[in-house]
Amino acid sequence: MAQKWDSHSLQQALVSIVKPEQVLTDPVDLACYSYDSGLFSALNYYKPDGVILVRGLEDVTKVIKWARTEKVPIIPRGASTGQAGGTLAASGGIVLDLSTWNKIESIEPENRMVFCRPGITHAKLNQALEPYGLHLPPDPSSGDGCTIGGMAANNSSGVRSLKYGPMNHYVLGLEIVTGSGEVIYTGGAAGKVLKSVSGLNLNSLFVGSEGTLGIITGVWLMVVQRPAARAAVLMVFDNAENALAASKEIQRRGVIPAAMEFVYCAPEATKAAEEFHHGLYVPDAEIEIICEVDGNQASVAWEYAQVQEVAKEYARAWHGADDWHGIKELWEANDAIETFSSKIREGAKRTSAGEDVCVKLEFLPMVLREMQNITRKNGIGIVNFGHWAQGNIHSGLLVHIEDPREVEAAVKTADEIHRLVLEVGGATTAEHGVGLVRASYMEEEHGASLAWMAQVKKALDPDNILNPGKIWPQMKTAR
Amino acid sequence: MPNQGLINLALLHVEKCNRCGFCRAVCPILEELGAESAAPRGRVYLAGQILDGSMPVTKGMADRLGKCLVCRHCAAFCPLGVRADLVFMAARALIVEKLGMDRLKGSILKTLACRWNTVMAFEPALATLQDIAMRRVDGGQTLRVDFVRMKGRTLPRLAARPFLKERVTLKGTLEKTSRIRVGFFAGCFVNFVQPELGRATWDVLIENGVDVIVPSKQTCCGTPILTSGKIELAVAVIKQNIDALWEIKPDAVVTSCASCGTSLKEWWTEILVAVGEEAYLEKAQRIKDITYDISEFLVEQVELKPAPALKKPLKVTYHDSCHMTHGRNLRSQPRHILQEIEGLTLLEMEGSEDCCGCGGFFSYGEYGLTKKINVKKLKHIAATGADAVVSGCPGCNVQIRDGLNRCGVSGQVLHTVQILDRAYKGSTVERNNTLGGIS
Repeated sequence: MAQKWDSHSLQQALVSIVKPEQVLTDPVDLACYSYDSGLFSALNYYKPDGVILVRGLEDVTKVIKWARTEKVPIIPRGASTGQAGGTLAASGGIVLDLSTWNKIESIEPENRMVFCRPGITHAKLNQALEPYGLHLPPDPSSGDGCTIGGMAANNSSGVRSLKYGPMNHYVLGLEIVTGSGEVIYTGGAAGKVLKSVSGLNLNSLFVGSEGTLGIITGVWLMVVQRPAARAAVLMVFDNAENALAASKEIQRRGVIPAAMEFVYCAPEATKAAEEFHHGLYVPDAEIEIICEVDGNQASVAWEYAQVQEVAKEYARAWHGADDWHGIKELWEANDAIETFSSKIREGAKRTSAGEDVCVKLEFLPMVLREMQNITRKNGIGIVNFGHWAQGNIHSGLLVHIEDPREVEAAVKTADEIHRLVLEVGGATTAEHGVGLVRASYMEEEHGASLAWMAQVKKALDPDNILNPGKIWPQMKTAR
Repeated sequence: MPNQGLINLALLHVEKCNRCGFCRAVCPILEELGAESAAPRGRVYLAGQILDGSMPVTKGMADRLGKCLVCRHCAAFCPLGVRADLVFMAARALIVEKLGMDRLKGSILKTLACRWNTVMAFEPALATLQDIAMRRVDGGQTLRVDFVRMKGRTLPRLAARPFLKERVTLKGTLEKTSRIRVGFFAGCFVNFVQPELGRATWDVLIENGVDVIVPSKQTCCGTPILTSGKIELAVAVIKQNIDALWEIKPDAVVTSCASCGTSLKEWWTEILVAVGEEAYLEKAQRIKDITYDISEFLVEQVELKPAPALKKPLKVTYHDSCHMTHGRNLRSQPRHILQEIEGLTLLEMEGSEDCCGCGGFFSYGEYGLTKKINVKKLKHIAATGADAVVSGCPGCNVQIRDGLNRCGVSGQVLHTVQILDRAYKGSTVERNNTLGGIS
């Protein structure tokens, strides 16, 4: 694109499509679209040629048609809170900033559904649903910043997905602009029913497609009742095997936890929880887990009792709470352990790379220890945490970012983590997406089915203008 | 180059930022403009780029980095504790050095920093002149400013007599008693624009059994100077104030301006550490430790004297100013004071912590943008049906007053301590049910 367009002529072209105030081509503005929150974007500088602040459907259809003619890459973007480089303009092109198109078009509490535009944030949607006692359960822990469009495009899930599942479970329908500029509506009777097996499930095709098949311009969502009661138990275990046995026992007893989060502790890390609850300090504890249950008063009372009994049996130390303040303190204690574990390397920054792998539950202890070994061997640090009962490990690599050798070691470590996980039959990403950073593992992970995925892309995006370079590394980009 | 210590501090915070984007949720500027360069994350990134020399300082860069209210909401919200306020101070210092500053703004800042006494001497004449040059509105409370970048804005009139001229405590005139000795830090606004707020603060403190001293050598707290990037000038001002306060040996320092409070409580020590002014650090730290917002002092440091019941019942709504709230967490104290006043009903507004849009000097250059932010606040105020709006920040009150004037509404806009003062004195607060008329 750089050969074809200078900043001025590009601006002229875009201004003929949308209003001038929606077009950004100033290098200062464009520089702010060169990053997300992962390590990759901190090391690689990809700047788009232009940005369009999208205000409506017509903006998207017109831009796509223009881009198809001109063979210009189009990169959809929500709030760019991701870590996989999914919103980076790896081959230049135009970023569609959808974050300002954030209207909630309708809330139908009696039908338990909402229709919103892609830029609304998870937190703002849930605020709007609160007066009706409803909410959208998937909680990616970045809800204040991340957008519903981005969550749908990545099939986000997060903390509560153990009980409530990922976005895919809640998307009833989508308004999509395909790579050919057509607008299509997916879902049963175009997304306005809570249940449908009518036709192929295009919702599932687009949810998690990371903007490579179409631009999500509207989302119909199922929303559910907020739980009336909650309780949580924080448990500290000597080793990961005990933690695994405990989580298995909790579920064997019939408890479906809303969340079961872990921190693979640094030595002495549980001391950080002491300021919240005396007795949680277990020297050299390998792992800490917080288990939350929710539902109605009676079910929570029963589930809470069950989790406490398991904690007594398996954990070295534990503390429970069933009041709002106490639960909040337990989550703060969990965060404190994670924070302590992140600070064991003086002056190191916590960075996200190799940060979203998923393995069979039985492999969790082995994989966690091996990840420690890899980082130790490479001379950097790591803090591991994540969604325990789903085998989803999030890693923060602890790196002296100003030292090029450590940065190189971090990149190597991320690669080795991905390869380790592939060796044990795991997935390189469970909820953050492939983006740019994991595209090189896709062939190994998916084998022949990657080519079928490419066929699907070709049908919907014949010129490969939508988010090129993501998911499929080998596919030629538009230019 | 600006002070390297400050640049290093700023770059530490830039480095700390992992670009998670949480700050996008709370920035009033981003909500209006939408582009990533208007997000705190974007501005911190850009600031880092110019501070480490990766990008040049251009007018475009200055424009993006200028679009920040320094409300500190992002800093308070940041899970990693990135202090965007400090980053922007350093970036603006570099921008001012490379590109200079708007002349009028520069002159005003220099006057605030170095010529307080001159302004005080000429204030009666300036007060007369303003009435000739500008049109009075709002029953004479404010003047319509129809020039420069603030066309149509209404601003409060300069007082005929500065606060320090009437209430300054001359050295040696107050003997040490067994009572708490409070040094009152007035700030520019109380001194030049609203001495009645200073008098109310003084009288309420006296009612609550403390001795009040107004140091004669105090000057601007430095907030507008720091946030405009005139760091050297700000450091001089900070040192002058520290000397002025140190001299009176106070047990406590009280201010009724939220932004002055932020300066004394946080920025003074942080900036002095950053620029290596070690000789002043111990004093600055001591002053930091004993500085209180008036509401904080009344609720936490003395036993608040109950006020007699208001003669006429009054409904008020409370606006949480950014500099009271973000980082300082002064939410409950002003509400406690209001709720202690019999006959007063506090009606909470939706989004009480949403910014009013003022941002001090920001509203000088970006009045159009501040008006847009202000509209939402006005709607929330109107929805309460209150008789008066109360906040702990004179700057917010100017912005809200201006907004009300634009809507043709003449309801009262007061500081918390003014309500308490009137309750103590048995005077009434003018009720004006027109706040609900905002559209």
